[in-house]
Amino acid sequence: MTTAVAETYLRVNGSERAVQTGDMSTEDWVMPEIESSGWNNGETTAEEFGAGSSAPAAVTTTPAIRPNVSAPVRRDNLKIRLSDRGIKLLQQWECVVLDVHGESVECEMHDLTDDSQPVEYAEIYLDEFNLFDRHLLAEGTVFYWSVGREESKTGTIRRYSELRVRRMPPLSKLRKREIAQEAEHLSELLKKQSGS
Amino acid sequence: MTVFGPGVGECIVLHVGNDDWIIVDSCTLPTDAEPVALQYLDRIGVSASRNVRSVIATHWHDDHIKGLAKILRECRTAQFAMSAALSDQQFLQLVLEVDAQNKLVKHNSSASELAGILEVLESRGGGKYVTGPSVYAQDGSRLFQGGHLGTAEVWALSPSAATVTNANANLAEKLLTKGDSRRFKRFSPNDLSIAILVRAGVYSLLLGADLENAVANEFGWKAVLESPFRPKERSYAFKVAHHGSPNAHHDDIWKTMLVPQPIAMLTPYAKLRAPLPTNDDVQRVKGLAAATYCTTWPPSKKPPRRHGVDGIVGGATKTRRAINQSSGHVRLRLNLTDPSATPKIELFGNSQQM
Repeated sequence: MTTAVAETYLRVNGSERAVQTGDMSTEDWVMPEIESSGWNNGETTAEEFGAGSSAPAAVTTTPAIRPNVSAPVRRDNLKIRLSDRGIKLLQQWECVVLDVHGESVECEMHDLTDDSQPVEYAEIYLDEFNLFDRHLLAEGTVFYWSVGREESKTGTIRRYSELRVRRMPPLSKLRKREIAQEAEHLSELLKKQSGS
Repeated sequence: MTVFGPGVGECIVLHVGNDDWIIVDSCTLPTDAEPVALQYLDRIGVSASRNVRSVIATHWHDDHIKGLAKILRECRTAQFAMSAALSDQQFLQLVLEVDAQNKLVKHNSSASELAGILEVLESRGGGKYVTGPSVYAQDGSRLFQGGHLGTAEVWALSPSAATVTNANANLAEKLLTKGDSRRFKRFSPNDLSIAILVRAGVYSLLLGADLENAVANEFGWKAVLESPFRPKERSYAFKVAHHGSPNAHHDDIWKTMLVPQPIAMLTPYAKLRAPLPTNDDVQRVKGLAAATYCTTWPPSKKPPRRHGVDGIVGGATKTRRAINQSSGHVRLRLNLTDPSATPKIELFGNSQQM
């Protein structure tokens, strides 16, 4: 039998533990095997579910239904995290945009993996860029292209490719002021020199 | 005259007699940050600091100015000539700001090169005055005199007065790209290119820079052809303008400014969907010249293969080519006093006769 309650209790390894979904992130969830899930073939009593709950327990007396999927439980000793995937970089370029057309980006690519490799010219499909990067693409924009293999813990190997546009940090007000003074100074010197 | 040109980049080194040398534009090779002109002079035993009399920047494109600041620093006695007036404060401020940001990335742009040149110019005057540019070149300006018997001359054939006036309005907006404005636009400042006529002894040479044709007669090659100021002699050899591109071709250049069947020299530009010169361009030039040479051919080649990378990159790209940056140069040697002496052409590296 199942109940709809504000707080759910499950039996894990013979003890009751509160599962507070608000404190959990997706990486904390695992799908346990049926035998350790705490489901006891519909023998869970209304008392067990309702114990300690401040919410009204809606208890029914319909026959127990064994779920056909595993319920999520928290197990701290088993973590699946994105950072566990291993990426082996095979090649990385620093690229400078030459032009942007409707569906492609013209660029020159400088090999960061091996300096002795020639500079390349390429037209990369615009679709390959992240949506949040596309508006930054203009002549002169710098982006990095990393290519490699992604290996998961389970041994799955996928191709890895990432295009990431370099954001230039804005100059500080102080630096801008210094530059403005330098430009003014140079401008005066050049005007004097050219007699204008 | 020695013309250097890897897949992207152009530089010309001229000896006009009497141990006077001139450098026009600059480029480097990917494996070496040293400008090709300085390497070459060092190799043939010429002192850059003593013998280079003039350094000319034809225009502010990446492929023509890489390493120019270093050249100017080394060639301490050389005069410096360039086209557009630099003194616009807004323009200078933008250049310096872009330079400050460029220090964050590995491959810097032409704005940084210009900032480096400004630094050299300022340091020459100890911060009290600027020792260059010595000349703001314009149609009819003489950029150099000396060399052979003191009579060798270098003349600017462009930009026209109209072009300079036009460019001075909002120079920053015209030259710098939009976006984060890291570099100069590729084509729009070509009108500001300095086409050059070199006169030494009995010969003259025409260096077309990247000057293109324009619709109005006051700009581009039409302005040069109609100029009342330019020297009228015909040149024996032609560094073909703008990498042989059709937008820089004008029949009257070949009819009125060059001897019949001159020697033509091409430099490639591979950072385009269709690298220059195309086969059609080469055929056109060959049809007009006695002999045509290209400093590096072909301009681009297949990229190096790499297991695990080619598949991913191939699927994400429409076009991909490796720029041919092998060192290549063509040297033309002329006897300045004897026109009957046979000119000597020497090919180095990846250069070839077309």
